[in-house]
Amino acid sequence: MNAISFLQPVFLYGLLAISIPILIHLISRRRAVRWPFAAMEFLLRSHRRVARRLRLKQFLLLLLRCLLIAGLALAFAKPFFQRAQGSSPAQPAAYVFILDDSMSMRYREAPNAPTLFDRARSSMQRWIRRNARGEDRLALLRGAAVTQPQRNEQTELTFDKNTLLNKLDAWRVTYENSDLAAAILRAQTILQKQRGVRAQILVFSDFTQHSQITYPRLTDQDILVRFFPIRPTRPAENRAILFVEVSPAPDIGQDAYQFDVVLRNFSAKPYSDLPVTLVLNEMPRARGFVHLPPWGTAQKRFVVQLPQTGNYAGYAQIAADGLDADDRYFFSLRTRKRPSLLLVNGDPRPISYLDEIFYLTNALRDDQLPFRVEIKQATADLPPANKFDVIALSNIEQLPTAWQEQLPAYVARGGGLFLSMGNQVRPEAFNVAFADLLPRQLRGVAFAAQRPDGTGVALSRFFGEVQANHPIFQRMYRDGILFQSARATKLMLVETRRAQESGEILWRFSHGPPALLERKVGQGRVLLLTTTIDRDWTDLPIRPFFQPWIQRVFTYLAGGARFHRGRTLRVAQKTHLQLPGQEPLRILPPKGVPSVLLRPEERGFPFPGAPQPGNYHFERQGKQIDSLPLSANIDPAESDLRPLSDQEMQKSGQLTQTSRAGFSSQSERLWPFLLFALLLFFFLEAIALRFL
Amino acid sequence: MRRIPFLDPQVLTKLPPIALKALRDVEGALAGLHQSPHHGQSIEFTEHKEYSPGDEIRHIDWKLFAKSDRYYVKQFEDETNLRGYILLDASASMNYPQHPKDREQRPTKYHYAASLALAIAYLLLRQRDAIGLLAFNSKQQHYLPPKSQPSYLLPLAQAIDQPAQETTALPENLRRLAETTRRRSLLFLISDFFSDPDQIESLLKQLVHRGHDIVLFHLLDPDEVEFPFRDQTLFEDLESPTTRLQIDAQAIRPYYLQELQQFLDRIEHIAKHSGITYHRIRTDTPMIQVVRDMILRRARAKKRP
Repeated sequence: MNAISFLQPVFLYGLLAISIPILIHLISRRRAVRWPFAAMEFLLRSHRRVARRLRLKQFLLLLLRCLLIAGLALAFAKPFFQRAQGSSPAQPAAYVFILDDSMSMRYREAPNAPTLFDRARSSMQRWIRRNARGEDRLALLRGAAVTQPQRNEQTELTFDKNTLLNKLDAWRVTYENSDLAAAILRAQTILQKQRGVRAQILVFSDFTQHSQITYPRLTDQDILVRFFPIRPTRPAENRAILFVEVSPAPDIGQDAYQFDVVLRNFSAKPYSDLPVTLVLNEMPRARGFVHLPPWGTAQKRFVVQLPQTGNYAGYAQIAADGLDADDRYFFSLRTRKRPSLLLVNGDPRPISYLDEIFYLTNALRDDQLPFRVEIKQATADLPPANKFDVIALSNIEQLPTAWQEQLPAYVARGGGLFLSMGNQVRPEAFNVAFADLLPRQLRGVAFAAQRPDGTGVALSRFFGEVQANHPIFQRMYRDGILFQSARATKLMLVETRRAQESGEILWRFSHGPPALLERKVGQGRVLLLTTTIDRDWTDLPIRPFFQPWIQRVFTYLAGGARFHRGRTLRVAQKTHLQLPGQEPLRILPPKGVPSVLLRPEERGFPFPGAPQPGNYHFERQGKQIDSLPLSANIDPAESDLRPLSDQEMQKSGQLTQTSRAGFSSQSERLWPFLLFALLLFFFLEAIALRFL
Repeated sequence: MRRIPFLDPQVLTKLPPIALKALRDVEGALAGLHQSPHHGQSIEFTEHKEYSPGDEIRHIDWKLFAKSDRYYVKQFEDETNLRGYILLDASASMNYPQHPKDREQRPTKYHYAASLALAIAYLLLRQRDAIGLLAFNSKQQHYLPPKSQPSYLLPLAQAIDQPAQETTALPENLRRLAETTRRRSLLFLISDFFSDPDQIESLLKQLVHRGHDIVLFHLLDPDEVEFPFRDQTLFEDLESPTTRLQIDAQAIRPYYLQELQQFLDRIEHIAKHSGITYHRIRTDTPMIQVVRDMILRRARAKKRP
């Protein structure tokens, strides 16, 4: 049953005023002037003719005047229509309030104006004070996605209005995404078991484009969902930094890094010369200006020299606007020192292009590359292995024993070892010398293919299948064709796989034998190329892809990419962190956020989600650990403050307008009808007076 | 000089010096202005008539008796004086308006009628015509036979000076007049005619048929013509105070005016088709204008058969 309720029921006393026209009617009858008259005959005759019509007219006039007064009293009482089947306003109600505390509700129209959240909260409090009666039960849910427990929520229906109001007072707006649909679902769950009450869900939000308000109905129970839009009085003006892309800029310099700041204008107002600032380790490092077209995006690129090796935490920033949370974007990165390579030449030649490492050296000796390359022969004066990040042993017959013994420990600590074959390599000696490092035991040198007549003349075989998702192939791999253009005439065969071995085949020849194998030892890696790194056995070094590929191989062996980008999460996003050590860690959050102790779990350190944007560092026993900070940023979707259209909102619920002052127009649904009815009554009265 | 009620000397002085003439032959007792259908005392001899009992002996032509030994009576063209009757409606309905404020502005219909009656009487007496009076209502009638003495004005005025009361008994009095007045006369009927028009019509026709020259003065108060009332009003019949009607005066006004107009049209129609002179008079019209209008209309009008 549909029911009409009143916001100002006290005005219903005005209905008593209906008696006024009736009294006037009666009094005027009683107070009629007595008038002796001569031509009574005509009066009586006229009266006989029109008595019925006059009585009807008088009755109609009286009725219309009564209706006019009743309409006026009803209009002042501010009626509104409640669709509540099987219930009436006299029944107790169960209200679940949803307060949108997502990031977009932080918007404020002027620097000292209240935020949308403040306005929504006070609107809700006003609504509760005015409309919630003693017998009504209330609950309170948040409109932001529930990733954190919100202690100010009231998830069970209560009669205690004051507790709810106090909770609202203590409530603070968050930086999280809104998820109204989920909140409405939770509200339905709360209301599900309520019978014999008027169940209502009242949502106070800005209802922007990103708001999800389409929700499934949990029950066939009649629950009224009402939307109270709290919106800026004029179109919101917001601009945001969507993200910052950090990458090395080798074409500028060895230590140059480029920061691409991508901005978006979420308003129809263009911005020219908008200042963008880049801050690294609390120091402003660069500043620039950007033109931001209406509803457009722009990119500002900063190139910064970072010669100091280490961790950098920073942010890009634009001038603050109504929604200041998205005017900063946090990131972190680690720059490493330039990796040093040791190339040990097993077969040096006076003619340069015949030298074993001629192609390798040329591929790595590039001014644009960050490597520091040192070349030695396999003699006793080899520098200590620990000084290098990567060591390449090419066509080695024998190494100094003392130096050779350093290698397993060197690799286990994170060093990279690249082994390539050649005529001087003796498999038996090699298998013994590198027993703990070889991906597979060597078996012996073989021709790739031989003529069928048995003359022993070698034929070449193509390189074949690659493991395309491996970092050394990943970005270069195009259907395998690129790498399959190389050929080999000879190759070192390896033993078939044994259970205890951890070697992995990254590249095969087209006829099957492995061409490149990898083994992880401790934190380091060993790569074994089963052919030569010069042109003795293969034409691999003169293939066009050789140079970039070998650079990637050595970058990979040196410990991955030269710089490392810190991890970026959304605010409130939970994750598990892979951090060194097993002892508990303490998060060092930005100012104003309580620090949290993390205890390791099976999957890593559980990060509970960042409550606000910023860079989150970690410390152990009062000392900051050597790990990149975690950057938390807001979801750019929240920056878009374009409102949902009324039609879209009305598809999901009943739209109730609120004004800045409160609910003066809450009953607007019945206002037009009442006003129209009043006008109609006036019109009818005029007609009755004129024509009846 | 003794003041005569209802008679305004100023009105009398303003009366035009034109005689009020009958438009038909009327019969009078004295010689006067008006042509009589009777052969009577006159210098203009018309014929002899054989004496029959009842003829006046003094009219016997003795010279002819001497010649023919028969009694012949001389007959002359008679120029008679006019016999006029004023029929004055003295019913209670003529007492409108009753409100003192309204009375200050204009007289009651009865007062107006009485003044008019005396003015007419004065006119006729001035030209030595005889004038009689019948002031009537349902209860009583004051009848004064026609006389032509100038001093007759005072008795007339005294007869009129009675309160108007009771209901109109116009048809009854007209009938009585028709029966009693055998001589052709000039009848001035002054009334608001709030009575049954059909009866009035038949009686008036009867009177006309008998040769009477009739003048109707239809008196109406401005309130009756305009009906200026508003709001709820309790109307009370002047002639029978028990008849009351409470009504929204403004609402009923158009219907009342329609009814009234029909009635007025009817009375006028009756007068027109019976050869009766009809004057519709609002009581806020100056008396002198009404009398002058009547005299001039009669002076201009052709004599009817």
